[in-house]
Amino acid sequence: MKAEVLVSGNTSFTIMIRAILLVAYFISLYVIIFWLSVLIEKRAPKPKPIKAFPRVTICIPAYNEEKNIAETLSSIAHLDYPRKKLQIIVVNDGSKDKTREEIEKFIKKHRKWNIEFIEQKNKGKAAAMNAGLKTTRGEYFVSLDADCSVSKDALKKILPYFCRNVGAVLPLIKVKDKDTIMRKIQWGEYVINFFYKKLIGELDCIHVTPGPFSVYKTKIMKDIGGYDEGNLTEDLEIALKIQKRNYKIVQILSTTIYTKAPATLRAFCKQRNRWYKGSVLNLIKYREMLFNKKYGDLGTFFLPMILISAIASITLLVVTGIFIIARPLVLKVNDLFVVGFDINSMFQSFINHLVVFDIDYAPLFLGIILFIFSFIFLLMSYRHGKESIKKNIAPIALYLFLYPFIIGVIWVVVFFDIAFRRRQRW
Amino acid sequence: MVKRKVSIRRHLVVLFLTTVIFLVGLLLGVSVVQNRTNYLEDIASKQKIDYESLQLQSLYLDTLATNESCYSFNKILESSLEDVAVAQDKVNAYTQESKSQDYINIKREYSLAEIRYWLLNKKIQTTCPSDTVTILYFYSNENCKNCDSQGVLLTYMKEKFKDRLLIFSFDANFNDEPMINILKRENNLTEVPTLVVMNKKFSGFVEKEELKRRICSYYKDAPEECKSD
Repeated sequence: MKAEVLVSGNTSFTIMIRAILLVAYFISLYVIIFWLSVLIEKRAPKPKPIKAFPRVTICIPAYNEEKNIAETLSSIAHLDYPRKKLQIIVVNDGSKDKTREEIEKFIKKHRKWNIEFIEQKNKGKAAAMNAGLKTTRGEYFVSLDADCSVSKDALKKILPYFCRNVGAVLPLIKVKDKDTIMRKIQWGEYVINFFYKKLIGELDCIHVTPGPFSVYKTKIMKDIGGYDEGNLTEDLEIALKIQKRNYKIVQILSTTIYTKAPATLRAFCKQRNRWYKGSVLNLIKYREMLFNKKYGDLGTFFLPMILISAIASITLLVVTGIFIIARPLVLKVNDLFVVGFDINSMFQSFINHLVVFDIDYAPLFLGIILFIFSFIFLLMSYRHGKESIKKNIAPIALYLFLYPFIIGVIWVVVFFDIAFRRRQRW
Repeated sequence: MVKRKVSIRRHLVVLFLTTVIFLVGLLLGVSVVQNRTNYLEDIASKQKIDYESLQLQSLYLDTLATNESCYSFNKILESSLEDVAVAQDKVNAYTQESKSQDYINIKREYSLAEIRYWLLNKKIQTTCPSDTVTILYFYSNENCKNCDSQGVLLTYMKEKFKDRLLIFSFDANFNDEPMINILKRENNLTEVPTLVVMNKKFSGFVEKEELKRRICSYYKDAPEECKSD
């Protein structure tokens, strides 16, 4: 009669799938243990609070942000920092909506703020940031996306981390609303990602300084020539440029910036397509850093890992998606056809004949081990990000089960786009 | 400037740790899979005793047949046949994951058991006739498009007809067991799947309604299942 084994198929095929799974398990386990091992490291003591307040420039590039710009500007208004030491520059990057009017309205309302307003034709975010960089008078330069809100203590928490060799300091970023499924997933993702960034920062491997409130040393920014205006992901390019000059990028988790994440799957895929394509293109641009001992762990381990993890996520998508979920499902549906959809009887006989030995234990135990380590990572992430796991079961579950598949699909599209030189649609 | 270095020591320690943890997980899994063999052997030895008991009963029935003892005989035969069938399924499935010699021997044992039960059942029908239908099912795990479906359908039928249906299944490609070849020749087997319902041979896939009708046509007192639809 019919064999009921959870992973079935003919022998050579099964062996291949198992081999792929085992290799994937090993690599994943290695990477998780590697980064967890950084936790054991003796860390530098917390820096002392700053005594003098240096001048800081906050530059907000805005493109079609009529709904968010006022909220972002007023969140800066609440920053706990001497007003005289703050220079705020808003750059309207040729918005097609009422962003300009919104900015002007806000400036009029808050005259004492001396908000500087630059109007430019639509040239992209990098150009807008460079325009801001040109007029900056601050010792520190902050980029701030127009859809973020800033914690009051942000600057006071960040600035103490600047010492001689530090080029940029990054705050913890969290997703502002959890109103849609996609935002829930990203909320779960961000908490883990920023803990991860903190760990990779300990080994000087941070490869992206995101738009929401990354603080740079102005002199370094000017030295390296500002942002690359033709770049798909200027925030990634600038980070690699800083790393290439061997300045430090520090990730801290003690202050939080809230950002609006894409609400729909479509918007999310569009954003990630740009990010991942940008990271591949910039890795090509900075290929001399890849596998280069001169760049330490960043060059020999972290940057190649970006590509490896991309390949891994595609493999995961194919192996789990097709061979572990779709194929057995198709077989089961086929079985149902055979018995004329008498599901009840079929299920009965399946249950009656089920034995503990049916499960393929070799990958199962490894899967459990991997799950335990991932869970430890998750636990640490939430502890460091000061979020409760209990209260966020839904975002975490959605993140764990849906995110890997979505990311896999996005990577497939990215490689396809790059291979066929498709132009980026904004 | 950042002093960059490659954390070779960290990599080595992590590689060592990962390998150890990985191997522990793998060995744990493999050791459980090893136990499958024990589990299958347990069933084999239990059914051997069952068979001996049945043989003894058959001898007894030959001399002193009563309705009461016939009933219990048929019951035991049916239930131990089902044990074998289930175990046979398992060993078929496990051999797809690994072609260990242990499995092949166990499989041979089960094939023999199926044949023994089939013969015993045939013999006992003269002294203890029972209103059951027997099906011989020849399948193959390789190059047989419809065997999976036919197997599912037979399992389903067994679930429906319970002890009124006896299914004896044989792997037609299992050349390690000469007895199977004898059966194949006996039944003029040309393709898989092939069903022999009572004495009538059906080559190729038999679908649900057809199979049900065939099975039902042999009952003197048709069970509930045959009356519906």
